[in-house]
Amino acid sequence: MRWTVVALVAAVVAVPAWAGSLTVGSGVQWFAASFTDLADYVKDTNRTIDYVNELADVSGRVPSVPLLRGGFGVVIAQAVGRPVGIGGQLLMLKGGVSTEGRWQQAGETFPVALSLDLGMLAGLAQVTLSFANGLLNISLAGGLGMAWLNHSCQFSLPGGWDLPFQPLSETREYRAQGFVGAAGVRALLPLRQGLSLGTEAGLRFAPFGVPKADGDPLDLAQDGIGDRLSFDGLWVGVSVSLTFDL
Amino acid sequence: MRKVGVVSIVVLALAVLLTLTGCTDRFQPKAPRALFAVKPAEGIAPLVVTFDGSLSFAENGKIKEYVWDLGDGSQSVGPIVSHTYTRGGTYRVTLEVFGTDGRSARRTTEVVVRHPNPTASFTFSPGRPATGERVHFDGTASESPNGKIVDYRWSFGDGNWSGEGSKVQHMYWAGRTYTVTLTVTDEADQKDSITKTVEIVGGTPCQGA
Repeated sequence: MRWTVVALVAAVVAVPAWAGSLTVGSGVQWFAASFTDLADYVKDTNRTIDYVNELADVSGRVPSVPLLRGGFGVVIAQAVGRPVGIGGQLLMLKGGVSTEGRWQQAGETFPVALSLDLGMLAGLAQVTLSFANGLLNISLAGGLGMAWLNHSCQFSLPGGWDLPFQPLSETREYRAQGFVGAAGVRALLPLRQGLSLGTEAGLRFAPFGVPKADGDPLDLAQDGIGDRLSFDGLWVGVSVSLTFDL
Repeated sequence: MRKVGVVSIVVLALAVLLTLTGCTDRFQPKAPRALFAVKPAEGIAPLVVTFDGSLSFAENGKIKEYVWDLGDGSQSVGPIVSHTYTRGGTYRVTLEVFGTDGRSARRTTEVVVRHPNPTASFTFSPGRPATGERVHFDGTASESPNGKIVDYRWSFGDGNWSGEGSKVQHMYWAGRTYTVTLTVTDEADQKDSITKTVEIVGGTPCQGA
């Protein structure tokens, strides 16, 4: 927190020193993250769904839940100075998976609806190093972020077998806050004076720990160990930026 | 341009290194997942319960061993096992699975076995008692699969007196039919009752005097 404030203050104070140019831009990203603990939950759930799907006295079918592998994001950024630029960016990431279906047994219907929607919002201070007349940038960014996970689940199990693991029937939003850091490389293609199209790739560190809802830690896997939410991973994206000489 | 190349390579190398070492656990070994199904999870003793651990899985290999702690001091191995619980109680059943890489995982559930009811039974003699005659009630034929009968309570149907004990005596002072009820309680606090009618012959003792 202290270093984030220092970086932001430095960014403001240092504007006159680097104020050779001002660059503003926005972009979209695709990010990859393993979401390890959530993946365990999804795999356990799918195994349970498959088991019930195959029970002889149960008809109907519930599709498996896709594995969470990433999502999309948007970013807006601003930097002053060249070849060393400082600035900030606002980043929002979103992702999610869901399934829905129903089982029937002895004339009774057992609906299943499960969705996991997660996202992250972060404000980052950023330092950019420009090379090749600004056509290649390397950036380091750090700041604070907030992550959330909406877990909505209705899971009705046909009679007969009892399953010690069943997805929790609930609709809750779990939240967490934490440090977010990123390192990235961006290549720019000038389109016209001051306007550039960029492609970028990078690595993000966003470990948020175990989110909570009303003080209850996230434990969808029901193993007594909280499920961590982390957006750690790689991203690729495209961006549009405008550069003004000051 | 040379500097650009060096920096880019350093950044990419750093990214690859961090990805492999900590940013993703895709390459890290993972413990198997212990999942199972139970049928039935509750019932009355003696209860035959089937446990199906074939839901368990290991991402990095296969499940090598399934070990069941059945909660009543017995253990079993194998993906699917059956066990009979002969006495009532709540049993914590744990499945521990071992993957081929030696890692393990466990999951626990509870099986609730309700105690069966005891069976209350009694006889009385003489079969056709008269007013003022001592009637002997014997409840020792009552039994329980849960252990001993620890309490006998009698209701003799004349509203005046109730008795305790497996064998009791009672006298009736008016000639009519009485409803006698024995309620037994066993070690597991399970109860059962039985009711019989006793026909008392004759009038009141003072009428006969």
